Amino acid sequence: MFRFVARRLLQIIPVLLVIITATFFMVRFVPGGPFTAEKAIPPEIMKNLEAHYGLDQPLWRQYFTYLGQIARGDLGPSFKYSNRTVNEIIAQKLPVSLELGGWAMLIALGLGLPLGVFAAARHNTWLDYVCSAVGMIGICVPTFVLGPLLALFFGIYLQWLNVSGWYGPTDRILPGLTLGFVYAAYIMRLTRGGMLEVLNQDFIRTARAKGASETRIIFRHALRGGLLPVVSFLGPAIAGILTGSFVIETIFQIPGLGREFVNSAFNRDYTLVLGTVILYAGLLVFMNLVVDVMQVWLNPRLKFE
Amino acid sequence: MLRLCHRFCLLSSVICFLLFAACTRHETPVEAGNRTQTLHQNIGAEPQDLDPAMMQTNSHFQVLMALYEGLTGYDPQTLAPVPGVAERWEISDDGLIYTFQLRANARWSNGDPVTAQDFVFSAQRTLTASLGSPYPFYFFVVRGAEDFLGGKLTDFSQVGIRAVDDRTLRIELHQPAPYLPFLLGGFAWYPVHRATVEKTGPWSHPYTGWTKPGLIVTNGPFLLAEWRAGEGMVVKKNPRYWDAARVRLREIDFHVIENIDTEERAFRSGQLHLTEYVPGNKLKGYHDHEPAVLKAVPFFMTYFYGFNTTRPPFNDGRVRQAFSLALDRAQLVASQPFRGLRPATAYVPPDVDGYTYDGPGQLRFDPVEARRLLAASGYPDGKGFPAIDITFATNNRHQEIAEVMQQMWRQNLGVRLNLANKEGRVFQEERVHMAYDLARAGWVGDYLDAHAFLSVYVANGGQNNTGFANPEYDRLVRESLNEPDRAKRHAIYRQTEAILLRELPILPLFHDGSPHLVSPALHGYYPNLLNYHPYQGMWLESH
Repeated sequence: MFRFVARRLLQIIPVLLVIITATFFMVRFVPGGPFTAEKAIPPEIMKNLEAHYGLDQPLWRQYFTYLGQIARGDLGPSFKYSNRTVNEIIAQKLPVSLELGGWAMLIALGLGLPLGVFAAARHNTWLDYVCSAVGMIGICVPTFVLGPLLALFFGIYLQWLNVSGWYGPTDRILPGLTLGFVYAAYIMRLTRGGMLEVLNQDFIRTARAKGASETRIIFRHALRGGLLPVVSFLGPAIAGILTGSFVIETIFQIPGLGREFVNSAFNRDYTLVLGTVILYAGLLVFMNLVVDVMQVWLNPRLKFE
Repeated sequence: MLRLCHRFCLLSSVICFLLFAACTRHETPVEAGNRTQTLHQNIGAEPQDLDPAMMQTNSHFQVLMALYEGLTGYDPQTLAPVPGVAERWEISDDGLIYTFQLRANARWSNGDPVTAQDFVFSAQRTLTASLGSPYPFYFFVVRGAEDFLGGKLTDFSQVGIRAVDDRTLRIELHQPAPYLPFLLGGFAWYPVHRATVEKTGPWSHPYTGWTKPGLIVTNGPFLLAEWRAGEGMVVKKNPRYWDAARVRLREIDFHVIENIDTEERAFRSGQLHLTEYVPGNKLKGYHDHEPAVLKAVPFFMTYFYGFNTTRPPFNDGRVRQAFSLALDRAQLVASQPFRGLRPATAYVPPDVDGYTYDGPGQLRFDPVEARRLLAASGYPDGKGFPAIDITFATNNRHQEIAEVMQQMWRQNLGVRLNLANKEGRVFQEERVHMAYDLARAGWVGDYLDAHAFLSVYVANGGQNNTGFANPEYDRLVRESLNEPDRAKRHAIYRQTEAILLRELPILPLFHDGSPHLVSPALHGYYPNLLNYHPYQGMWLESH
């Protein structure tokens, strides 16, 4: 197992290098720069700004300078938030996105798993239909509809919760629910599907014939196998919850990294674009590795190789 | 299994109960603010920095206005310059020398007196190219300022801004600028505290971090207490401000909600007293049901399109006129209701400092004449007219307006144009490099004088971007300021604007409005032409 993980970790390096190179050049070839503004900046000033950020150097030199920098773990200064570095911005905003993602995952698993198990256990009964319908709605209703609806109901009509901001513990409820609900729906459907497949297998029939209780059959025998599809979904889903929180962060005005990730491209904040891309790419690759390890752990038929 | 189901249901009901018990109807931030004199205002995007020399968007002026004070300030209703750090000033007969007397009791937030040297230092800093300030042109009326920035002058004492003594500042201009007292109230002229700036690095370097809470020293009615990245800034009343007795607000929470729908929800749920915008689809609702909170007033802005006059088809003046005459501006404005828009009959917004353009060539709707002109220029009934793009930066409202224009030109001229919406910076880049035919533009005057608008279209003007160059126009713009008499100056403006409307390098559509949602509890807030709202006279009181 150690060799497997070490080899996979080493593979991350060339993957990231390709991503960095592609992003670096792509973002530079987009028209407009970080200092493009409605009111033209005097040329003397423009020259100084470019020199300050090293943009007056040839592109290939800037590229190698940048590679040298990130090898030392320095993602450079941000162009937009002029007195902060990209490292500082990530350190400040990533925890917020992680917390939001954490709550959302908790809600997604807390709702999705039990509902999926119920639906499978009560296959083709009204309970199954209700759970499946809820799942279908969750998948169909986009977050930018659900978010404002929840804000309208709980924030404006009932005035129980803030509709925007990230101040107190209650401010986690609406964004967490909105983001979590969509993933809960996917998890519910995957759990249901996985469980149904396992419940129809011979070893379950054997367990039933031996007189095991239904609860024991589901939790002891079926769940482990039934969760396999959910686990392979979770890896990209966790990375997706972190990157995909842009919409939620905008709707609820949450100072997370998802918004910076998207806005940095509009602002041509070259260093912040690269910083966030590297972070998210790394996260995605790493989560896939975790999923692979989990798969082997849950499924005795797989081996590390 | 059934037992399990019951247990799950029980558990979830307990969780739900706990969750909602925690969040019964609470006092909203606005209600609490009314009690504690805490204003909640949204300013849209987060400022990059609170260094007045480095400000990049006008909407952040509000934060700086709370933190700093210039030589002059503004009357909250008329925006007329009023004494600020300077208690009075004298102007020489030729209008070239201004002598300011500073208040003895003007203090920095650390207790140091605000001196004339502070203003000289701040001007030198902004005019130093290595700082990279985006707004040095607010100083260009000062003798030698432009040369110093460009490196033609290296000794700052040669520039016309000098501290005679601690409390006397003399500013010498290279040409009269009757609007100077107004300009001095703006952010670019705000003083910065030298010792503080130098604490974190050389003063001629940008973004050394001296504006962080705990470090920053300012001289305005409020102090920076907190700056939470992505969440906003909190400023608290400055007890050392010379006019602190008049400041009634104790705190201002500047929110940085960028999404206008989120902003509107925050206002409705009692999180904001004051919004930056109002979503277009909510205007009617507020207008019909809650007219008291919707403030949509005229803004000192002209919304227009620029023609690329350097290439066909718009290098032909007749085509430009035809396109202008074919637009029914009243109808266009009617398609954007409740915003306080006024259809344009000229380029400069009407009634600014008593000037309204009433000369020849006023913009009007005349489809017959429009067709005649287009035919005369070789496109009878629009035949053979190239399918050019109406270019604008991605934005719903720009799109709506461009659609109306597209339709009017199709009906009235028979030309079929395409709509091209471009991402913001791509659009700017194309405009600057003149890679367009017809592109959206807008101009907000920096000071309440027609000159702020007319000076844009001088031949080498950095914001011209149309290829328009007319020596007579340039001469009139230059000479207008030499005329000390207001009525005579306005007559020169009229001549200048007549040239612009004759040549028509731009297509003025309307003068914009600025809609905001304002809590009825906020007093001392007056909607005005430039959206400048000094905080000194504001207070909160619910009824």
